[in-house]
Order: sequence, then structure tokens, then C-alpha cells
Amino acid sequence: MAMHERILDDAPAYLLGELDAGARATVEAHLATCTQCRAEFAQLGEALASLANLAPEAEPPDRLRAAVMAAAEREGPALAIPLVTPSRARRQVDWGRWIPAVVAAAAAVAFAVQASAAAARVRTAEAAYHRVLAANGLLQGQLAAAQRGIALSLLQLEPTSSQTSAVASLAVASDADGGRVALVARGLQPLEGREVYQLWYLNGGAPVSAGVLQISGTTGHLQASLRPGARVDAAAISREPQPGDTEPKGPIILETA
Amino acid sequence: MAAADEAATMRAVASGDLEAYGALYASSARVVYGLCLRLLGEAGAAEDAAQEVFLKVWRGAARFDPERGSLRTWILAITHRECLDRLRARGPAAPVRPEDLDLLPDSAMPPEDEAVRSAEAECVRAALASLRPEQRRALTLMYFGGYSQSEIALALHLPLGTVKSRARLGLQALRRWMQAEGVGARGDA
Repeated sequence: MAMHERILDDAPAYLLGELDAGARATVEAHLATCTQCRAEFAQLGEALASLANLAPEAEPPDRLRAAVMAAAEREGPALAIPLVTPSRARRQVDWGRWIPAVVAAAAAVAFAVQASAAAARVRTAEAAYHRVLAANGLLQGQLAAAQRGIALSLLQLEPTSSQTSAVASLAVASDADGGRVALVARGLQPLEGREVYQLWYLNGGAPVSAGVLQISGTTGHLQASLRPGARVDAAAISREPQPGDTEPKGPIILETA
Repeated sequence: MAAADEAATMRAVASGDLEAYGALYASSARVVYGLCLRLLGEAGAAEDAAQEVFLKVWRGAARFDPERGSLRTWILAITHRECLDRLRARGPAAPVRPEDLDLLPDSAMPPEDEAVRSAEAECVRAALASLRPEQRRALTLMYFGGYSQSEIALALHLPLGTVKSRARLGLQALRRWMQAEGVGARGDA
């Protein structure tokens, strides 16, 4: 039987989440390289989802809306990683291959921040990372990244002083050609004047600016590219009196343990 | 909703726009809750599952990719997965009984006198009715019954490969019908 046929026979079980990890990885490895099967799976997914139309719509209780909105508000924004469009992928580096890694990293970051904010804070970044990935089925994302030769890691940033309850997680996806970092921080104090929160990473001992956090309430987000060959050994967030500095001048608020 | 609009909606949701999220809830709550109710069979369980579905939509908004399907499909897939996980967590599925095999395909569909059904529901109904009975049975047992292909193979005394082929051929036939009728590819969510 041709490879395509074998993979397609697994489509219904794959689309319904029934395959075990090994079979799922086989399907995903094939889909990563076969545009024909990828298109077929997308269409079969639509057909399968259309069965949901046979379930009669039903009016949920009013309290569901209130509960749903309150949960979202409590949780704050999920980390938004813009998906790179194919046209842009053609113009530049092959960013398309970053998508699974960075999307997995983004989800890992979002969950890791919740985990850190909880009372039982996980001390080591490695343990937190694997716990988060395992808990959310994201080992598949890590696997997909590994198959493309991309290393994916997660760093936890912790407060430098007991006076702040801020936490942050930084996902790093990289290979020899460069990489992407995605950060989310929660519990940040309000800034004054021209102040900014700035992310720095240590590359062989020297701090390099990764940029200024976008602030929404007490939450900060940042996504940035890494230069080819750049390594992120450690990271810190400082409170800078103004944007544009090439080395930290203000106090360090959060740093990797 | 066009793909570009759906992408814009989900970018807004991913960035924490509660207004966009509220509008998304308003347009999809009935179908999400309806599917939860159909699969889980009980209002309290359906409400819990629907709440979890919307939280997953909120957290995962950045992962919505309009090139891989419509927003409606994406949300319904999350809903279906959530309900199946909850069904599986209830313990091992009861063995498929002979009467289930005859009843499920029809009981998967609302009775004739049920409230107004959408044109899309009518089309899916017709598409499903057009399938060979063994293909329809495999698909509905999987989708609405939450049965694994191994469980179906065991109950029907068939090789697993046969069940896989039936489900796949049924799904492909369903897809061809939907495409010919011009539905399913991009519904409103």
C-alpha cells in the first residue's frame, strides 16, 4: 500500500485524537513533508466537523456566558504569536518551519505562567517545561521542532526582590540560522513617565537587548528574533528610565534562577 | 465569515480583546453547547464542557490558522475533542451492543419534529444518508458514540484495517458530497 494510502487510513482516528503518540508522530511527520496529504487532511477535517451540525443547537444557560467571560478576564490575554503568512515566508528565511515550534512554545509559556503564579511554584525551568508540555500534549510540538532541527526551551524568570510578585516565562526556539523568543510576564508594577520594561539575554556573558515589553495592564508581552548563532544562556527584565538603551541601566526586576 | 475576518477576529481574541471574544461567544455558544449536550447527554456536564471549550479557544486563539479550515470547524473540533476526553475519562466505554449499531446512526440525527434545522444540517443529513451503511456506521460510532476503531472492530468481528478503511472511505465520500453541495468548507461561526 502506498504511504499516502496508509496515512489516509489513519485520518479519521487522527482527526478524532484517537491515535497513540507513536502513530500520531508518524502521521505528523508525513504531513510535514506532503502537501497533498496536508490538503486532504484539512478537507477531511472539515467533513468530519460537519457532522456536528447533526447535533441540534441548544440555548446554554445565561450563567455560562458570565462564567466564560470572567474566566478569560481573570486569565488575561493569551500570548499572541503572529502566524507568518506564506507570502512572507517566500520573501524571507523559511519562517514557516518555525511555526510549530513557536506556537508550541507560546502555549507552553502561557501555561507556565499560570503554573508559576500558583502557590506551588516549580523551581527548575527544565522540570516546569516538561511538566507543562506533558500536561498539554505539547510534546508533539517539541517533537515537530526536533524533526526540523530546532531546539525549544523554556526559561522561568523569577523576582529579584520579595517585594514584587511578578513572574515571567521565556520560550526560545533556535537553530544555527537564528531563532525566535516569546515572553509573557504577569504581575508587573505600573510604569511612570517614559519608563519601559526591557528584556535582556546573556549571550556568552554579555547582555543583549531583546527589546521592550508591550504592556497591557499588569501583563507584558514580547516577541523577538535572534541573530544566527545567538544563544540564550540566561535572561532578565529590567525597569529602564527610558527606551533605547543598549545595556541595562535600571534595576533588574526579574531574572532566570 | 471570510477567512480574513476570522483571522482578524482571532488575532483580536489572542491579544486579549474581550469584546471580540464576547462576540465570538454570542455567535458560537448555541452550536458548542448543543454539541456538548448531544455527546455528553446531560445539561450540567455539557455546561462544564462548554466552559472549558471557550477557555481553550481563548488560550489557543493564536493557534487558529485560517488556511487549515474555518473558525467554525476549529471550534467544533475543540468541542468534540473536549467531550470525547470527558467520555473517555468516565471509564472504559461500554462494549458496543448490537442494538447500538442499528440505533446510533439514526439517533445521531434529531427527530423530524425537532426545532427548525439549518440548511447545513439538512445537507449533512442527506450526505450521511448517501453513504454505504457500513461506512455511515463506522463514522457515527466514532463521532457520536466516542468508540475507538479497535472497539468497533471487536464488536463487529472485523479486522481493524477494515474498520479504518470504512471510516476513511466514508469520510472521503462525505467530503465529496459536501464539496459538490458547496457547504462545510466555510460556515459561519
